[in-house]
Amino acid sequence: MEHNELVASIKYIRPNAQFALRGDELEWLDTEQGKPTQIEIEAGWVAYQAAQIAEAEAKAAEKTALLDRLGITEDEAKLLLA
Amino acid sequence: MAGAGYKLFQTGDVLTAAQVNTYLNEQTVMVFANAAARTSALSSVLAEGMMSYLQDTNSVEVYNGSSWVNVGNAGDITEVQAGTGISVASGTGPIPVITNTVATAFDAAGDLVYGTGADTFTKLSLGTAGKVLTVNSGATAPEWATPAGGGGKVLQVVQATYSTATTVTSLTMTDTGLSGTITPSSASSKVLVLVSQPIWMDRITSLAGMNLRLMRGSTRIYGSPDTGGGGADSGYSQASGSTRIQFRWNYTITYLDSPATTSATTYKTQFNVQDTADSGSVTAQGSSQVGSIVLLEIGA
Repeated sequence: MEHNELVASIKYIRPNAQFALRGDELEWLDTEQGKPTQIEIEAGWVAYQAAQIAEAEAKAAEKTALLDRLGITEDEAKLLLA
Repeated sequence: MAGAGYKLFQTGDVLTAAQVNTYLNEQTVMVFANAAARTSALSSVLAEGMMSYLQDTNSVEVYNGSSWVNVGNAGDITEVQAGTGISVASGTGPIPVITNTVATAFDAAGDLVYGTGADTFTKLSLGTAGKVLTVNSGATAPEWATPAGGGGKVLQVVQATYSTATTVTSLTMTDTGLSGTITPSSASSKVLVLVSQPIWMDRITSLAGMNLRLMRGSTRIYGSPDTGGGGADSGYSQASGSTRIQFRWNYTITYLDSPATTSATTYKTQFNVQDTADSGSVTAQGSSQVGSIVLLEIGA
C-alpha cells in the first residue's frame, strides 16, 4: 500500500487516532485506541474506498433528485448559479 | 744573560763563569722566599725572560723587561656573573655552570617565548589546531586566535535531502525525517540553515493547522514547543475552507544559528498537528517529494 493509502485507511478505521507514519513504518502514539493490525489496515483501505464510492454515488443521486424536483437540467442549474 | 738561548757543550770545552751565569743561573727557575728576596738578589742582573718561583705565594713569575708577571694564573677566569637571560651556578668555579634561561623557558613542542618588557620574557604555549598567531586586543602581546575566516564568507556548505513520506496525526512533535549534519571549523562561526520541505495538511473540517520547527540536536531553535503550538508560535501554519481542508505547499525556513561548537551538529525539522480531532493529519514529503536542508557555515 502507498503511504497516503495507509494514512487514509488508518484514519478511517481509527478516527482521530494519534500516530506517526514514516514511509510504511507506523509509530502508534494514541493511548485511547489500539494500534491496528496490518490485516485491519488493508481491510480498512478496502472499506474506505467503498465508502468513498458510496459517498460519491449518494451525492450524485442527491443532486439528480434535486434537479428532478426543480425540473431543470444540470446545465440550467449552472447557468442559474453563474 | 737570560735569553742567551741554548748552548751544546762538547767534550773538552772549558766551562766559564759567564756561561754558568748565562746558561744555567739566569735561564732556570730561580726560587726565592718572596719578591723582596728576589729583588735583592737580582737587582743588578735583571734581564727579560728570567723566571722565578716565590715560596710565599706559590707563584711562578717571568720578568718581561720591566716587571715580574705571574705566569701560572695570568688570564684565568676567577668569577662568572650572569647577564640577562643567563643563569650561573658555581660562579667562582672551579667550573661554573652557565645556563640559557630563555632556552629553559621552552617546556613543550611548539612553545614560543616573547618579550614582556625590557630584558624580560615569558612563554606562549602552542595553540590548538587551526589557530593563528595574532596580537591581543590590548596590542600588548601575541596570542593564538581563531582565524577571522574572511568575515561573513561561506566556509563550507552541506546539503541533505529526504524523500520518505512521513505523516503525523499527533500533538507530539515528531521528526519529519529531514536532517543535515555540519561540523563547524570554528566555534565563532554561524550556521545559516535553509529548509525547503513539501507539506500536506488534511482535515475534515473548516480549519486545519500544523506546526513545524527547527531543531539543533535536541534543542529547539525555531518554532513551537514540544507539544501543541498554535497561532502565537513561529512555524505555525493554518488553512481555512468549507468542509474539508487539503492544503499542499512548500514550507521554507531560513534561520541563522550560532551553535558555538566545532563538534558535528545535526539540524532537523519536527512537526505536529494543531488539533487531533476531525482526522487532522500533516504529511511531509508526500508522494516522495524531496525535502532539502542546506547548512552554510559563515565565518565570524
